[in-house]
Amino acid sequence: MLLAPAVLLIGFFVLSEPSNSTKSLDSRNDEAKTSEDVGQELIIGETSARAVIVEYADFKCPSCGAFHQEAGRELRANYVQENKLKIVFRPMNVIGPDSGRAAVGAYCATDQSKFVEYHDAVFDFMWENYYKAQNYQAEFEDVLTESVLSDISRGIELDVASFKNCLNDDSKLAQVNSNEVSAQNAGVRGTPSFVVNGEVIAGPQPYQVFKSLVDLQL
Amino acid sequence: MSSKLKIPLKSKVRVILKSILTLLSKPTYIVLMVISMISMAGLIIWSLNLELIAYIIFDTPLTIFEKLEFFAYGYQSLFTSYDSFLSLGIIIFSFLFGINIGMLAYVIRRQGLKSIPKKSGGSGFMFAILGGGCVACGTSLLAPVLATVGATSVPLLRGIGAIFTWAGSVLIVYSIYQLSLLVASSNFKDSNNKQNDNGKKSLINE
Repeated sequence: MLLAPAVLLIGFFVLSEPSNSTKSLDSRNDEAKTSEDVGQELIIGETSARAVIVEYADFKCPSCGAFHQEAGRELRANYVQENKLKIVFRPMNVIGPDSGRAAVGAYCATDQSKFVEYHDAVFDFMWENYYKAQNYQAEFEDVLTESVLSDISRGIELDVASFKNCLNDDSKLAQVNSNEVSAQNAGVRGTPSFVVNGEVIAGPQPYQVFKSLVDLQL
Repeated sequence: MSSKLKIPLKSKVRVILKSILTLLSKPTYIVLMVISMISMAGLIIWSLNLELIAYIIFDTPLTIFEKLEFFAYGYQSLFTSYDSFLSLGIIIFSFLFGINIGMLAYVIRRQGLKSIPKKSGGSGFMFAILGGGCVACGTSLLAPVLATVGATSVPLLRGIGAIFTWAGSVLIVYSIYQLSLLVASSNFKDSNNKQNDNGKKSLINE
């Protein structure tokens, strides 16, 4: 009686997605490289770093914020700063219209060579003001308004006027939309999701999980 | 049996606690319950990453120890990745699931498979898996189910995930109650048999 649902569930997983368990490590790395070909990339770390994590995230998603505050910070301290790892960040528009605005802002900040600062500032804003205290009501509200994003951009010393103009740039929005296509192709079902060694990881897993997977690439 | 009689809640709780104590007095069942609890929590935690698990098991050059260590890291996510309401739900459900499995094994050993009630935790298990897998924003086994009825809001999905896990716990408590009645009845039969045996022995001695 108890085993029946378990068998059904496992069967669902086995049948719902094609297994790629026979692929070698090399082909997985190749797969990760080709999946990066989606136009302008937002990269945290040295482009020449050997290990790659592709991150699909929404600036408004609390779990994405949790990853940034915990495993993300540790990965950056221990691998990115050592030039061993680069994180390819693909912002998504999943939760609300302001998610899309913040995602577009990431490309605008990149134009001014301040992507990493912007990335950290937006996640920190959401964390400190809402999610740290487990206030998830913000997910339902338009919190990352143009004015809030402008304040954030001022805080990281961006040219605010050109940043504001850029927020309405359709080509940036197209870039965000192409991330969604890329996510679907990779088999991503929510945020945050990561592609490491060609494997999709759902959820903000602990640092040690990512560490094990990054070490396999080095 | 229980549906015809109106048993007060206090008595129900007492029956459940007595049955749990019976199991806790036997080391084999304690081990079984602990293994079941850990396995269930692991299944919920890793439910959205089963392909990753397959990759770690079959395709990586990690040693067995490193592979086990990798799975164990996942348990940390209970304290880092989930919000506290969902984490608590997963921990409580896993705990109850362990007790349920212990009782199930006890009853099967004493009274055979046929004695098992039809509702012995299967639906609670399904609820908890569906809800507990909701570790990331909108990432849940529930997503495709809800999408078919037009519910695509990610925040909504997070809330429903937690509710499903708690609903699973409620269902499994019902299952535990049903099984505890059987545990109690088999204990009653055992003590009756012992008394009869003692009675026969004393008669023979006389």
